[in-house]
Amino acid sequence: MQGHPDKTSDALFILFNIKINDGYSFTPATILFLNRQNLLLILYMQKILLIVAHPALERSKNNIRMLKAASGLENVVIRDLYELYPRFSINTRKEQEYLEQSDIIVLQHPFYWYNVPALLKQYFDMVFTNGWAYGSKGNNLHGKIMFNSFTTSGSRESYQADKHNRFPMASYLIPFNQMAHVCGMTYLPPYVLHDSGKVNPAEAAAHSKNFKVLLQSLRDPGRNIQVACEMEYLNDWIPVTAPPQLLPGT
Amino acid sequence: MEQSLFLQALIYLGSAVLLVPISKKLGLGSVLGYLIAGILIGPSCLEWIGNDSEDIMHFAEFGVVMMLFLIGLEVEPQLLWRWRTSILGLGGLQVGLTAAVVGFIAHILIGLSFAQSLTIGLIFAMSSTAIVLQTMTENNWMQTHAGRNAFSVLLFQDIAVIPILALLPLLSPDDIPATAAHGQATLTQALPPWAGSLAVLAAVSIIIFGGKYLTRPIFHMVAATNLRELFSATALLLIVSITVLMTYVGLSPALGAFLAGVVLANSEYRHELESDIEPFKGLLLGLFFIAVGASINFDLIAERPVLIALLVVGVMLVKLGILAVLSRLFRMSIDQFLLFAFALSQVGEFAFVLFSFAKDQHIFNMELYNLLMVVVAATMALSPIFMLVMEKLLMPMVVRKTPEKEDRKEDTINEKSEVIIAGYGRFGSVTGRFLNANGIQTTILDANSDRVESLRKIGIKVYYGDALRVDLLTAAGAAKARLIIIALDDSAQVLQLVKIVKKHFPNLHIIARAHGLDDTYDLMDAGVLHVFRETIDTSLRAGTEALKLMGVRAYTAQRAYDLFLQHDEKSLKKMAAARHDRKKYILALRNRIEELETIIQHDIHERAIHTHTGKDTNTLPEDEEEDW
Repeated sequence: MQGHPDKTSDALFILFNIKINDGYSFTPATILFLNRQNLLLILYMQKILLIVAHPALERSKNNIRMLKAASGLENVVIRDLYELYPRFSINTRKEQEYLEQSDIIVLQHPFYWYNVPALLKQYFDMVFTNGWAYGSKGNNLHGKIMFNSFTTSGSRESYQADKHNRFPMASYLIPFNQMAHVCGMTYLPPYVLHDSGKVNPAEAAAHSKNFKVLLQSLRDPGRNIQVACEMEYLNDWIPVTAPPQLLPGT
Repeated sequence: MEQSLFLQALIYLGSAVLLVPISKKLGLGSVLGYLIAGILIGPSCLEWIGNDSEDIMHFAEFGVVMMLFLIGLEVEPQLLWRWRTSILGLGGLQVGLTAAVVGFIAHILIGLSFAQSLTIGLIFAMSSTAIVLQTMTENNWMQTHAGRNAFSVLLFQDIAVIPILALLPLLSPDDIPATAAHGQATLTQALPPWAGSLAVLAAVSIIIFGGKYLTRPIFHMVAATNLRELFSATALLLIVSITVLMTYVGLSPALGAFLAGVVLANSEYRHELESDIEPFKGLLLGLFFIAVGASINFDLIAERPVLIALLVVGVMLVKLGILAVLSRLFRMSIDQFLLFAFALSQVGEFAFVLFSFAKDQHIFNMELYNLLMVVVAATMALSPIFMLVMEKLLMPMVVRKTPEKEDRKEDTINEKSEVIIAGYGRFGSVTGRFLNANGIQTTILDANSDRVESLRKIGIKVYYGDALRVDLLTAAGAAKARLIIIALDDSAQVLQLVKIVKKHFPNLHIIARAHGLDDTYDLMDAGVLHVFRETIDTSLRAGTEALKLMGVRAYTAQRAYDLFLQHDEKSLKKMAAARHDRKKYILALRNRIEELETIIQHDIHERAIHTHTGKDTNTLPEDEEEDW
């Protein structure tokens, strides 16, 4: 991501430099290499829908911290499922409207049994319906981006073949990955807080701060998602200081 | 017999305590019990009290005053205004017509003088506030059409006492100056008539404005002392002051007390007043009825039984007849009419007052006066019996008759739905609508004719009938239906219907509505599997909302609700099992309350609420991060 552009791109850059905001720039040539999604990503501010699902949010300092970091951000809408639907009676149409108005869907939750809490699963079942989210007429989620942001007590290292959790993290996320794919969405790697029970305050604060940066990065124009897609975790992608890649694949 | 105050009290109280429970047990009502007690201890039977029953009655009338005060407390001023048609119309017509008919009979058929006939007519038109209201409240009939109309009539009668009292001296055959009832001097005696009316207005204004503005600071001051007895004293003082004021001006104290009650109906001290006055009222009223019983002159009855019998029956029939006409005019259904007419058919206690006043005015001689008093007392004594006859004999006939008249309706219970709903009040209507909305057809039975009529006007197919009748249930398809929802308002009837269904339609599933714990147990004992207590769900939901408003998260509150309900059901079963052993039951009850409260507060409950939040809460200390 932080690689040095080669001479060709330098030339192109100098030739056709177009500045957008804050020093992030790209050349018209790159348009040829970007799909429509990334183009839009670059041109406009994205709208983020943050779906929070925690049955005991009041007792989870980590999740609360992340929520606090996310709230108040422009273009970020938060839906707290366990607060809205304590009886699991999700209002399908209402939630679909929120989804229709968003570009990026962030699922924030604790990693219960390698999965999402029941109400979030209920959300998928009741909202991503045949004819709306998928199927011959179901194209309302096409072109959107989705990823999971979660906390888990296991360590990053334990998610390997010969370790405690036996499979890499991506394996556990296949259902969400496939669901996104069927609905025409781009599925990004997860943003994970490992060792959630053991984090020290500094680490926890950093995680939340980075979450905010992550959301801002995804929201603001000029980001190159392609690179993110190839990472293992979104944690590794967060462009803290460096400008984005000028050309995909560099 | 010369008796000390205490001995008298012993006699009165003793007779009441002995006879009233018996009378209630026999289903005769408390009024009859008191009356019988009075007859028993009076000069005609045991002769334990002498002929001072008139004084006792005068003293006990205070009970009637208190009763009217309490009633006023329940009536909002706007309601009074809304009822003005029935008060003035129904009441006015009742008094007017009765006076006219009775007066006519007295004058033309019996040959009494015009003055006497008019007096008798007007006084016989009165009904007994005490008996009517006592009986109606006891049987929960106050909320019905009949109850409200009866109350309006009684109210008008109360108002009518004023002009009657003013009229009587004018009917006097001689020139004796007017003295007020009971020989008390009134202020207005000395004043010319226009000043008298002014005084009346002044008195009424004092009550209204005093009630609105004076009472609050006084009550507040008294309440601040925190001495309960002082508040009782103030309440009594209030009533006594009103009585004194009203008698001075020549008005009926009961009316004044009623007015005061209405004025105070919205006061913050209303409930305190109610609870303080209620015991006094009850006692004095009982005393009053005893005195009435004692005043019945059985010697006179023995002398001229036929005449008296004729008069009594005649009076009551005339009143009944006029009330029947009026109820048709005011569009009351048959069962309401029965209640209304029979309740008001007696001659009231005001008659004692008015007749004695009339006697003082020399309108009647002693002989006629005694006769009239006996007739009045006899109608009062017979009234509870009449009501009983009406309730047990005539009412069931009517309830049976109307379905026959509306034969078409019963025949057209053709659609044999699989679900029968008995009772379409607050409970049954919601359940019924819910089922219909989900595509399930229901056959609805309800025994309140007013309700059936208005529901049918909206287009809901409700069938009129008493669901407790096997033939009606059969006609409704109970033999082939799958389920009956018993949502009747009266819990005794619910239980009765359960037993009937279990006996005649054993294949019907039963869903039963329960009012409180007692009938819940009864229903469980009777073998009903699906008992639904009226308020448990709603009150718990209100509590859940309260939790949320206190800052608890929605899902946490919901879990608390679920757990509480589970525990409640479990402990209910335990308590039902222990119910018949009193000690065990109290223990179980106490345990239940403790359990529920400590469970809510204890960590166990906390953990139970969030067992699915992943953590092994037993191994980690409290303050560690609860987070997955």
